Amino acid sequence: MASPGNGYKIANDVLTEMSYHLVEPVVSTTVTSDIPAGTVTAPVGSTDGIYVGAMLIVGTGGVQEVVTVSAVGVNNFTATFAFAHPAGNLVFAATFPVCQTIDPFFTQQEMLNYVANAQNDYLVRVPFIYTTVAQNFVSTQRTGTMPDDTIQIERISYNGKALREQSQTSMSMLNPGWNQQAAMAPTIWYEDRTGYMTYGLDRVPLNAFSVNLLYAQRDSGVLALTDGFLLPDPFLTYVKYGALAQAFAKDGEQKDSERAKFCQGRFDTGVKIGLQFYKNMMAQEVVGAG
Amino acid sequence: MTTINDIAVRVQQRLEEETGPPGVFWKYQDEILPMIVEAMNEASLITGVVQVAQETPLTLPADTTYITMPTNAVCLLYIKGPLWVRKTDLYSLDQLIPGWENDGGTTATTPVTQITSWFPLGTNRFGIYPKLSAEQSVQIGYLAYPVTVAPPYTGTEEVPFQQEFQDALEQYAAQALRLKEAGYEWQAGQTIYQEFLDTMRTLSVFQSRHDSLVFAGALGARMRVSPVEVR
Repeated sequence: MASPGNGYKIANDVLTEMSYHLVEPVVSTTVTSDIPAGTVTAPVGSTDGIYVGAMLIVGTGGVQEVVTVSAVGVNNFTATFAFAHPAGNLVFAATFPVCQTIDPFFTQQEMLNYVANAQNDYLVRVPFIYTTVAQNFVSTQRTGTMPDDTIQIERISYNGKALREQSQTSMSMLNPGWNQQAAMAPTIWYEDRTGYMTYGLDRVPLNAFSVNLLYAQRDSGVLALTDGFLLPDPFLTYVKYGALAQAFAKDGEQKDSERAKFCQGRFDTGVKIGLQFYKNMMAQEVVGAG
Repeated sequence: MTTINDIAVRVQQRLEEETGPPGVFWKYQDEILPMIVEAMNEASLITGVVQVAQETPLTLPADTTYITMPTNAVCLLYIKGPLWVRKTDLYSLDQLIPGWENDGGTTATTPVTQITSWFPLGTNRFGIYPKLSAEQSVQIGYLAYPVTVAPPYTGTEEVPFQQEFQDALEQYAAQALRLKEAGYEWQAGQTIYQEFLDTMRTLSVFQSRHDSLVFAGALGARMRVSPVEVR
Protein backbone atom coordinates (compact mmCIF):
# COMPACT_ATOMS: atom_id res chain seq x y z
CA MET A 1 0.00 0.00 0.00
CA ALA A 2 1.06 3.58 -0.29
CA SER A 3 3.20 4.83 2.56
CA PRO A 4 2.44 5.03 5.42
CA GLY A 5 1.03 1.60 6.15
CA ASN A 6 -0.86 0.37 9.18
CA GLY A 7 2.35 0.05 11.20
CA TYR A 8 5.78 1.63 11.44
CA LYS A 9 7.81 -0.56 9.09
CA ILE A 10 8.30 0.03 5.40
CA ALA A 11 9.23 -2.50 2.71
CA ASN A 12 12.91 -1.59 2.94
CA ASP A 13 12.96 -2.57 6.64
CA VAL A 14 11.87 -6.10 5.76
CA LEU A 15 14.31 -6.24 2.83
CA THR A 16 17.13 -5.14 5.14
CA GLU A 17 16.47 -7.99 7.56
CA MET A 18 16.34 -10.40 4.62
CA SER A 19 19.64 -9.03 3.31
CA TYR A 20 21.45 -9.94 6.49
CA HIS A 21 19.98 -13.44 6.50
CA LEU A 22 21.20 -13.81 2.90
CA VAL A 23 24.63 -12.29 3.68
CA GLU A 24 24.06 -9.38 1.29
CA PRO A 25 25.56 -5.96 2.14
CA VAL A 26 23.19 -3.09 2.82
CA VAL A 27 23.71 0.55 1.79
CA SER A 28 23.89 2.87 4.80
CA THR A 29 25.65 6.17 4.28
CA THR A 30 25.04 9.93 4.14
CA VAL A 31 25.28 12.77 1.63
CA THR A 32 28.53 14.59 2.41
CA SER A 33 27.62 17.99 0.88
CA ASP A 34 24.41 19.76 -0.09
CA ILE A 35 22.82 18.60 -3.33
CA PRO A 36 20.11 20.41 -5.35
CA ALA A 37 17.07 18.84 -6.97
CA GLY A 38 17.53 17.53 -10.50
CA THR A 39 19.97 15.12 -12.12
CA VAL A 40 23.12 15.54 -10.06
CA THR A 41 26.14 13.64 -8.83
CA ALA A 42 25.76 13.22 -5.08
CA PRO A 43 28.88 12.88 -2.92
CA VAL A 44 28.45 10.19 -0.26
CA GLY A 45 30.55 8.71 2.53
CA SER A 46 30.73 5.32 0.84
CA THR A 47 29.49 3.67 -2.33
CA ASP A 48 29.50 0.16 -0.86
CA GLY A 49 26.47 -1.68 -2.21
CA ILE A 50 25.65 1.04 -4.74
CA TYR A 51 25.54 0.06 -8.42
CA VAL A 52 23.96 1.35 -11.61
CA GLY A 53 20.26 0.59 -11.47
CA ALA A 54 20.09 0.34 -7.68
CA MET A 55 17.17 2.05 -5.96
CA LEU A 56 18.17 4.11 -2.92
CA ILE A 57 16.16 5.92 -0.27
CA VAL A 58 17.46 9.44 0.31
CA GLY A 59 16.44 11.82 3.10
CA THR A 60 13.79 11.56 5.77
CA GLY A 61 10.30 12.89 6.43
CA GLY A 62 8.58 14.95 3.77
CA VAL A 63 11.63 15.09 1.49
CA GLN A 64 12.34 11.37 1.58
CA GLU A 65 12.47 9.89 -1.91
CA VAL A 66 13.52 6.82 -3.84
CA VAL A 67 16.09 7.48 -6.58
CA THR A 68 17.57 5.14 -9.18
CA VAL A 69 21.33 5.26 -9.64
CA SER A 70 22.47 6.08 -13.20
CA ALA A 71 26.24 6.20 -12.58
CA VAL A 72 28.67 5.43 -9.79
CA GLY A 73 31.99 7.21 -9.20
CA VAL A 74 34.53 7.37 -6.41
CA ASN A 75 32.49 8.19 -3.32
CA ASN A 76 29.61 9.56 -5.38
CA PHE A 77 26.68 8.45 -7.48
CA THR A 78 24.46 10.13 -10.05
CA ALA A 79 20.66 10.11 -9.92
CA THR A 80 17.67 12.35 -10.53
CA PHE A 81 16.41 13.90 -7.30
CA ALA A 82 12.98 15.43 -6.81
CA PHE A 83 14.15 17.28 -3.69
CA ALA A 84 17.28 19.09 -2.55
CA HIS A 85 19.12 17.32 0.26
CA PRO A 86 21.48 18.94 2.76
CA ALA A 87 24.75 17.33 3.85
CA GLY A 88 24.13 14.62 6.41
CA ASN A 89 20.92 13.32 4.83
CA LEU A 90 20.70 9.55 4.99
CA VAL A 91 21.21 7.35 1.94
CA PHE A 92 20.13 3.79 2.59
CA ALA A 93 18.54 0.70 1.06
CA ALA A 94 18.77 -3.05 0.81
CA THR A 95 20.23 -3.24 -2.70
CA PHE A 96 21.30 -6.91 -2.90
CA PRO A 97 24.56 -5.96 -4.61
CA VAL A 98 26.32 -9.34 -4.71
CA CYS A 99 27.36 -10.15 -8.30
CA GLN A 100 25.24 -7.29 -9.67
CA THR A 101 27.67 -6.59 -12.50
CA ILE A 102 27.89 -10.24 -13.58
CA ASP A 103 24.95 -12.42 -12.62
CA PRO A 104 23.15 -11.08 -9.56
CA PHE A 105 21.89 -13.50 -6.95
CA PHE A 106 18.84 -11.33 -6.44
CA THR A 107 17.46 -8.03 -7.73
CA GLN A 108 15.70 -5.45 -5.59
CA GLN A 109 12.50 -5.65 -7.61
CA GLU A 110 12.53 -9.42 -7.38
CA MET A 111 12.86 -9.27 -3.61
CA LEU A 112 10.14 -6.63 -3.35
CA ASN A 113 7.91 -8.95 -5.35
CA TYR A 114 8.67 -11.83 -2.97
CA VAL A 115 7.69 -9.63 -0.02
CA ALA A 116 4.49 -8.43 -1.72
CA ASN A 117 3.57 -12.01 -2.62
CA ALA A 118 4.27 -13.27 0.90
CA GLN A 119 2.11 -10.56 2.47
CA ASN A 120 -0.79 -11.27 0.13
CA ASP A 121 -0.39 -15.00 0.66
CA TYR A 122 -0.61 -14.39 4.41
CA LEU A 123 -3.68 -12.16 4.00
CA VAL A 124 -5.41 -14.82 1.91
CA ARG A 125 -4.83 -17.39 4.64
CA VAL A 126 -5.56 -15.03 7.54
CA PRO A 127 -7.75 -12.16 6.30
CA PHE A 128 -6.93 -9.56 8.94
CA ILE A 129 -7.71 -6.42 6.99
CA TYR A 130 -11.21 -5.26 6.16
CA THR A 131 -12.57 -2.30 4.32
CA THR A 132 -15.94 -1.03 3.14
CA VAL A 133 -17.01 0.53 -0.13
CA ALA A 134 -20.32 1.70 -1.58
CA GLN A 135 -21.15 0.46 -5.07
CA ASN A 136 -23.76 2.03 -7.30
CA PHE A 137 -26.13 -0.01 -9.47
CA VAL A 138 -28.26 1.27 -12.33
CA SER A 139 -31.86 0.24 -12.70
CA THR A 140 -32.32 -3.55 -13.18
CA GLN A 141 -28.57 -4.21 -12.86
CA ARG A 142 -28.17 -7.54 -11.09
CA THR A 143 -24.42 -8.08 -10.90
CA GLY A 144 -21.57 -5.99 -9.62
CA THR A 145 -17.79 -6.15 -9.87
CA MET A 146 -15.73 -6.69 -6.75
CA PRO A 147 -12.98 -4.12 -6.06
CA ASP A 148 -9.59 -5.25 -7.41
CA ASP A 149 -8.15 -5.70 -3.91
CA THR A 150 -10.89 -8.05 -2.73
CA ILE A 151 -9.88 -11.36 -1.19
CA GLN A 152 -13.41 -12.28 -0.22
CA ILE A 153 -16.66 -10.46 0.38
CA GLU A 154 -17.79 -10.73 3.99
CA ARG A 155 -21.02 -8.83 3.93
CA ILE A 156 -23.25 -6.84 1.60
CA SER A 157 -25.85 -4.46 2.93
CA TYR A 158 -28.62 -2.46 1.34
CA ASN A 159 -30.01 0.56 3.18
CA GLY A 160 -28.10 -0.54 6.28
CA LYS A 161 -29.57 -4.03 6.29
CA ALA A 162 -27.39 -7.08 5.66
CA LEU A 163 -28.30 -9.26 2.70
CA ARG A 164 -28.31 -13.02 3.12
CA GLU A 165 -25.64 -14.96 1.26
CA GLN A 166 -26.99 -17.81 -0.79
CA SER A 167 -25.96 -19.67 -3.92
CA GLN A 168 -27.72 -19.49 -7.25
CA THR A 169 -27.85 -23.27 -7.14
CA SER A 170 -29.87 -23.40 -3.95
CA MET A 171 -32.16 -20.57 -5.05
CA SER A 172 -32.82 -22.39 -8.33
CA MET A 173 -33.70 -25.57 -6.48
CA LEU A 174 -36.12 -23.72 -4.25
CA ASN A 175 -37.63 -21.59 -6.98
CA PRO A 176 -36.57 -22.03 -10.63
CA GLY A 177 -38.05 -18.64 -11.48
CA TRP A 178 -36.24 -16.71 -8.77
CA ASN A 179 -34.56 -14.33 -11.20
CA GLN A 180 -37.86 -13.41 -12.88
CA GLN A 181 -39.49 -11.98 -9.79
CA ALA A 182 -40.88 -8.48 -9.52
CA ALA A 183 -38.67 -5.55 -8.71
CA MET A 184 -38.10 -4.89 -5.04
CA ALA A 185 -35.29 -4.30 -2.53
CA PRO A 186 -32.50 -6.92 -2.70
CA THR A 187 -32.47 -9.49 0.06
CA ILE A 188 -29.89 -12.02 -1.14
CA TRP A 189 -26.40 -11.90 -2.65
CA TYR A 190 -24.45 -14.67 -4.35
CA GLU A 191 -21.10 -15.19 -6.00
CA ASP A 192 -21.30 -18.65 -7.53
CA ARG A 193 -21.40 -18.96 -11.33
CA THR A 194 -21.10 -15.22 -11.78
CA GLY A 195 -17.68 -15.05 -13.45
CA TYR A 196 -14.41 -13.48 -12.41
CA MET A 197 -14.61 -11.11 -9.42
CA THR A 198 -18.35 -10.69 -9.81
CA TYR A 199 -21.24 -11.00 -7.40
CA GLY A 200 -24.96 -10.90 -7.94
CA LEU A 201 -28.07 -9.67 -6.14
CA ASP A 202 -31.48 -11.27 -5.99
CA ARG A 203 -34.32 -8.82 -6.44
CA VAL A 204 -33.36 -5.37 -7.56
CA PRO A 205 -35.35 -2.14 -7.38
CA LEU A 206 -36.64 -0.34 -10.46
CA ASN A 207 -34.53 2.70 -9.74
CA ALA A 208 -30.79 3.17 -9.36
CA PHE A 209 -29.53 2.07 -5.95
CA SER A 210 -26.35 1.35 -4.06
CA VAL A 211 -25.09 -1.40 -1.76
CA ASN A 212 -22.27 -1.42 0.76
CA LEU A 213 -19.58 -4.08 0.50
CA LEU A 214 -17.48 -5.15 3.44
CA TYR A 215 -14.58 -7.25 2.23
CA ALA A 216 -11.25 -8.74 3.23
CA GLN A 217 -8.59 -6.72 1.50
CA ARG A 218 -5.28 -7.66 -0.12
CA ASP A 219 -2.34 -5.35 -0.56
CA SER A 220 -0.84 -4.18 -3.82
CA GLY A 221 1.07 -6.81 -5.79
CA VAL A 222 3.85 -4.28 -6.34
CA LEU A 223 5.70 -2.65 -3.46
CA ALA A 224 8.07 0.33 -3.53
CA LEU A 225 10.95 0.57 -1.04
CA THR A 226 9.17 3.17 1.06
CA ASP A 227 5.73 1.57 0.98
CA GLY A 228 4.13 0.51 4.24
CA PHE A 229 2.19 -2.70 4.82
CA LEU A 230 -1.45 -3.53 5.41
CA LEU A 231 -0.43 -6.10 8.03
CA PRO A 232 0.56 -4.79 11.46
CA ASP A 233 4.30 -4.92 12.24
CA PRO A 234 4.20 -7.98 14.54
CA PHE A 235 2.94 -10.12 11.64
CA LEU A 236 5.66 -8.98 9.24
CA THR A 237 7.98 -11.60 10.71
CA TYR A 238 6.00 -14.21 8.81
CA VAL A 239 6.00 -12.13 5.64
CA LYS A 240 9.78 -12.00 5.88
CA TYR A 241 10.09 -15.77 6.26
CA GLY A 242 7.62 -16.34 3.41
CA ALA A 243 9.73 -14.12 1.15
CA LEU A 244 12.95 -15.80 2.32
CA ALA A 245 11.46 -19.19 1.47
CA GLN A 246 11.00 -17.97 -2.11
CA ALA A 247 14.53 -16.55 -2.21
CA PHE A 248 16.16 -19.73 -0.91
CA ALA A 249 14.10 -21.87 -3.29
CA LYS A 250 15.25 -19.90 -6.33
CA ASP A 251 17.57 -21.63 -8.78
CA GLY A 252 21.19 -20.56 -8.66
CA GLU A 253 24.13 -20.46 -6.31
CA GLN A 254 22.00 -19.24 -3.44
CA LYS A 255 19.56 -22.15 -3.66
CA ASP A 256 19.26 -23.87 -0.30
CA SER A 257 16.39 -26.32 -0.02
CA GLU A 258 16.93 -26.89 3.69
CA ARG A 259 16.65 -23.23 4.58
CA ALA A 260 13.78 -22.75 2.12
CA LYS A 261 11.90 -25.53 3.90
CA PHE A 262 12.68 -24.02 7.30
CA CYS A 263 11.50 -20.55 6.23
CA GLN A 264 8.34 -21.96 4.70
CA GLY A 265 7.74 -23.77 7.99
CA ARG A 266 8.10 -20.49 9.87
CA PHE A 267 5.60 -18.89 7.50
CA ASP A 268 3.15 -21.75 8.00
CA THR A 269 3.53 -21.57 11.78
CA GLY A 270 2.90 -17.85 11.49
CA VAL A 271 -0.35 -18.62 9.68
CA LYS A 272 -1.40 -20.91 12.53
CA ILE A 273 -0.51 -18.26 15.09
CA GLY A 274 -2.48 -15.73 13.04
CA LEU A 275 -5.53 -17.99 12.91
CA GLN A 276 -5.39 -18.56 16.66
CA PHE A 277 -4.97 -14.83 17.17
CA TYR A 278 -8.02 -14.23 15.00
CA LYS A 279 -10.05 -16.69 17.02
CA ASN A 280 -9.14 -14.95 20.26
CA MET A 281 -9.74 -11.53 18.78
CA MET A 282 -13.27 -12.58 17.86
CA ALA A 283 -13.93 -14.31 21.18
CA GLN A 284 -17.12 -13.17 22.83
CA GLU A 285 -17.30 -12.03 26.43
CA VAL A 286 -21.06 -11.83 26.19
CA VAL A 287 -23.08 -13.43 23.43
CA GLY A 288 -25.65 -11.14 21.91
CA ALA A 289 -25.89 -7.52 21.00
CA GLY A 290 -27.64 -4.28 21.52
CA MET B 1 13.12 -1.77 33.13
CA THR B 2 15.06 -4.08 30.84
CA THR B 3 15.97 -2.66 27.45
CA ILE B 4 16.71 -4.56 24.26
CA ASN B 5 20.36 -3.55 24.76
CA ASP B 6 20.39 -5.72 27.90
CA ILE B 7 19.05 -8.70 26.00
CA ALA B 8 21.31 -8.04 22.99
CA VAL B 9 24.41 -8.51 25.13
CA ARG B 10 23.16 -11.88 26.35
CA VAL B 11 22.32 -12.88 22.76
CA GLN B 12 25.88 -12.03 21.75
CA GLN B 13 27.18 -14.20 24.56
CA ARG B 14 25.11 -17.12 23.28
CA LEU B 15 26.63 -16.56 19.82
CA GLU B 16 30.15 -16.24 21.20
CA GLU B 17 30.35 -12.70 19.85
CA GLU B 18 32.16 -9.77 21.42
CA THR B 19 29.55 -8.00 23.49
CA GLY B 20 28.18 -4.57 22.65
CA PRO B 21 28.19 -2.68 19.35
CA PRO B 22 29.20 -2.84 16.55
CA GLY B 23 29.29 -6.67 16.48
CA VAL B 24 31.61 -8.89 14.45
CA PHE B 25 29.77 -11.57 12.48
CA TRP B 26 26.38 -10.12 13.37
CA LYS B 27 25.92 -6.34 13.25
CA TYR B 28 24.66 -5.14 16.59
CA GLN B 29 22.17 -2.49 15.50
CA ASP B 30 21.12 -3.89 12.13
CA GLU B 31 20.91 -7.59 12.94
CA ILE B 32 20.80 -8.36 16.64
CA LEU B 33 18.37 -5.66 17.79
CA PRO B 34 15.78 -6.41 15.05
CA MET B 35 15.82 -10.12 15.93
CA ILE B 36 15.05 -9.30 19.58
CA VAL B 37 12.14 -7.16 18.42
CA GLU B 38 11.04 -10.07 16.20
CA ALA B 39 11.12 -12.36 19.24
CA MET B 40 9.02 -9.89 21.22
CA ASN B 41 6.52 -9.61 18.38
CA GLU B 42 6.01 -13.35 18.21
CA ALA B 43 5.82 -13.67 21.99
CA SER B 44 3.19 -10.96 22.01
CA LEU B 45 1.03 -12.61 19.37
CA ILE B 46 1.09 -15.96 21.17
CA THR B 47 0.65 -14.86 24.77
CA GLY B 48 -1.41 -11.69 24.51
CA VAL B 49 1.23 -9.53 26.19
CA VAL B 50 1.54 -6.41 25.83
CA GLN B 51 -1.83 -5.10 26.90
CA VAL B 52 -2.30 -1.37 27.11
CA ALA B 53 -5.05 0.49 28.91
CA GLN B 54 -4.99 3.73 27.02
CA GLU B 55 -4.72 6.70 29.35
CA THR B 56 -5.66 9.20 26.67
CA PRO B 57 -9.31 8.88 25.73
CA LEU B 58 -10.11 7.85 22.19
CA THR B 59 -12.66 10.06 20.47
CA LEU B 60 -15.34 8.20 18.56
CA PRO B 61 -16.74 10.36 15.74
CA ALA B 62 -20.45 10.97 15.21
CA ASP B 63 -22.38 9.21 12.44
CA THR B 64 -19.70 6.54 11.99
CA THR B 65 -19.96 2.76 12.36
CA TYR B 66 -16.46 1.58 11.43
CA ILE B 67 -13.53 3.12 13.29
CA THR B 68 -9.82 2.86 12.45
CA MET B 69 -7.66 1.28 15.15
CA PRO B 70 -4.94 3.35 16.85
CA THR B 71 -1.59 3.00 15.05
CA ASN B 72 0.12 0.87 17.67
CA ALA B 73 -2.85 -1.43 18.35
CA VAL B 74 -3.13 -4.97 16.99
CA CYS B 75 -6.31 -6.02 18.75
CA LEU B 76 -8.92 -4.09 20.69
CA LEU B 77 -9.76 -5.69 24.05
CA TYR B 78 -12.36 -3.43 25.64
CA ILE B 79 -14.11 -0.06 25.51
CA LYS B 80 -15.38 1.92 28.51
CA GLY B 81 -17.25 5.07 27.93
CA PRO B 82 -17.75 5.59 30.93
CA LEU B 83 -19.88 2.45 31.25
CA TRP B 84 -18.51 -0.91 30.13
CA VAL B 85 -19.39 -1.39 26.46
CA ARG B 86 -20.45 -4.88 25.49
CA LYS B 87 -18.38 -6.78 22.93
CA THR B 88 -20.35 -8.46 20.17
CA ASP B 89 -19.79 -9.43 16.54
CA LEU B 90 -21.09 -8.32 13.20
CA TYR B 91 -23.06 -11.51 12.62
CA SER B 92 -24.93 -11.21 15.94
CA LEU B 93 -25.89 -7.63 15.18
CA ASP B 94 -27.18 -8.61 11.73
CA GLN B 95 -29.22 -11.46 13.20
CA LEU B 96 -30.56 -9.76 16.31
CA ILE B 97 -31.04 -6.20 15.10
CA PRO B 98 -31.71 -6.18 11.34
CA GLY B 99 -30.99 -2.73 9.98
CA TRP B 100 -28.84 -1.87 12.99
CA GLU B 101 -26.59 0.33 10.85
CA ASN B 102 -29.45 2.84 10.53
CA ASP B 103 -29.82 3.28 14.28
CA GLY B 104 -28.54 6.46 15.92
CA GLY B 105 -26.51 9.12 14.17
CA THR B 106 -26.97 12.84 13.88
CA THR B 107 -30.48 12.49 12.47
CA ALA B 108 -31.78 10.26 15.27
CA THR B 109 -34.93 11.56 16.97
CA THR B 110 -33.46 10.62 20.34
CA PRO B 111 -29.79 11.65 20.39
CA VAL B 112 -27.35 8.80 21.04
CA THR B 113 -24.63 9.83 23.47
CA GLN B 114 -23.39 6.42 24.53
CA ILE B 115 -22.56 3.36 22.44
CA THR B 116 -23.83 0.06 23.77
CA SER B 117 -21.81 -2.46 21.74
CA TRP B 118 -18.59 -2.78 19.80
CA PHE B 119 -17.27 -5.50 17.54
CA PRO B 120 -13.82 -6.41 16.18
CA LEU B 121 -13.18 -6.21 12.47
CA GLY B 122 -9.71 -7.48 11.70
CA THR B 123 -6.60 -5.79 12.96
CA ASN B 124 -7.26 -2.44 11.31
CA ARG B 125 -10.79 -1.57 12.34
CA PHE B 126 -13.57 -2.04 14.83
CA GLY B 127 -17.25 -1.21 14.72
CA ILE B 128 -19.64 0.45 17.16
CA TYR B 129 -23.39 0.32 17.73
CA PRO B 130 -25.36 2.52 17.56
CA LYS B 131 -23.92 5.44 15.64
CA LEU B 132 -23.32 8.43 17.87
CA SER B 133 -25.21 11.70 17.51
CA ALA B 134 -22.14 13.62 18.69
CA GLU B 135 -18.56 12.52 19.21
CA GLN B 136 -17.85 10.62 22.41
CA SER B 137 -14.66 10.06 24.38
CA VAL B 138 -14.04 6.50 25.53
CA GLN B 139 -11.27 4.60 27.27
CA ILE B 140 -9.90 1.63 25.36
CA GLY B 141 -7.69 -1.33 26.15
CA TYR B 142 -5.77 -3.09 23.44
CA LEU B 143 -2.96 -5.40 22.56
CA ALA B 144 -0.12 -3.16 21.46
CA TYR B 145 3.03 -3.51 19.41
CA PRO B 146 5.89 -4.36 21.81
CA VAL B 147 8.04 -1.71 20.10
CA THR B 148 6.38 1.39 18.71
CA VAL B 149 9.15 2.89 16.62
CA ALA B 150 10.47 2.13 13.16
CA PRO B 151 13.89 0.55 12.66
CA PRO B 152 16.79 1.16 13.07
CA TYR B 153 16.39 0.57 16.81
CA THR B 154 18.62 2.39 19.28
CA GLY B 155 18.69 -0.39 21.86
CA THR B 156 17.11 1.78 24.54
CA GLU B 157 13.63 0.53 23.68
CA GLU B 158 12.08 -1.13 26.70
CA VAL B 159 11.27 -4.83 26.84
CA PRO B 160 7.65 -4.90 28.05
CA PHE B 161 7.80 -8.52 29.19
CA GLN B 162 8.34 -10.05 32.59
CA GLN B 163 11.62 -11.65 33.57
CA GLU B 164 10.47 -15.17 32.76
CA PHE B 165 10.06 -14.30 29.08
CA GLN B 166 13.55 -13.00 28.63
CA ASP B 167 15.44 -16.28 28.39
CA ALA B 168 13.10 -17.38 25.60
CA LEU B 169 13.55 -14.05 23.82
CA GLU B 170 17.32 -14.49 23.91
CA GLN B 171 17.07 -18.02 22.57
CA TYR B 172 14.74 -16.98 19.78
CA ALA B 173 16.99 -14.12 18.67
CA ALA B 174 20.11 -16.30 18.71
CA GLN B 175 18.38 -18.99 16.71
CA ALA B 176 17.05 -16.50 14.13
CA LEU B 177 20.48 -14.96 13.72
CA ARG B 178 22.04 -18.35 13.01
CA LEU B 179 19.95 -18.62 9.83
CA LYS B 180 22.74 -17.02 7.82
CA GLU B 181 25.27 -19.58 9.02
CA ALA B 182 23.51 -22.47 7.27
CA GLY B 183 25.78 -24.90 9.09
CA TYR B 184 25.63 -27.24 12.03
CA GLU B 185 24.84 -24.48 14.54
CA TRP B 186 21.85 -23.38 12.53
CA GLN B 187 20.55 -26.91 12.05
CA ALA B 188 20.94 -27.65 15.75
CA GLY B 189 19.23 -24.36 16.52
CA GLN B 190 16.04 -25.33 14.72
CA THR B 191 14.79 -27.23 17.76
CA ILE B 192 15.18 -24.04 19.80
CA TYR B 193 12.31 -22.45 17.93
CA GLN B 194 10.03 -25.31 18.97
CA GLU B 195 11.20 -24.82 22.55
CA PHE B 196 10.36 -21.13 22.22
CA LEU B 197 6.81 -21.98 21.12
CA ASP B 198 6.45 -24.42 24.03
CA THR B 199 7.68 -21.79 26.49
CA MET B 200 5.22 -19.25 25.13
CA ARG B 201 2.37 -21.70 25.52
CA THR B 202 3.38 -22.30 29.12
CA LEU B 203 3.68 -18.61 29.87
CA SER B 204 0.30 -17.89 28.31
CA VAL B 205 -1.28 -19.96 31.08
CA PHE B 206 -0.02 -17.41 33.57
CA GLN B 207 -1.22 -14.60 31.35
CA SER B 208 -4.75 -15.95 31.62
CA ARG B 209 -4.83 -14.48 35.13
CA HIS B 210 -4.45 -11.05 33.60
CA ASP B 211 -7.10 -11.41 30.96
CA SER B 212 -9.51 -14.06 29.80
CA LEU B 213 -8.38 -13.40 26.24
CA VAL B 214 -5.46 -15.79 26.22
CA PHE B 215 -3.77 -15.92 22.88
CA ALA B 216 -2.32 -19.40 23.01
CA GLY B 217 -3.59 -22.95 23.16
CA ALA B 218 -4.18 -25.26 20.23
CA LEU B 219 -3.33 -23.59 16.97
CA GLY B 220 -5.92 -23.18 14.23
CA ALA B 221 -9.24 -21.40 14.13
CA ARG B 222 -12.00 -20.02 11.94
CA MET B 223 -11.13 -16.96 9.95
CA ARG B 224 -14.20 -14.94 9.05
CA VAL B 225 -15.96 -12.05 10.68
CA SER B 226 -19.04 -14.22 10.92
CA PRO B 227 -18.82 -17.26 13.19
CA VAL B 228 -21.37 -19.07 11.03
CA GLU B 229 -20.59 -20.72 7.70
CA VAL B 230 -23.29 -19.76 5.23
CA ARG B 231 -22.78 -22.38 2.57
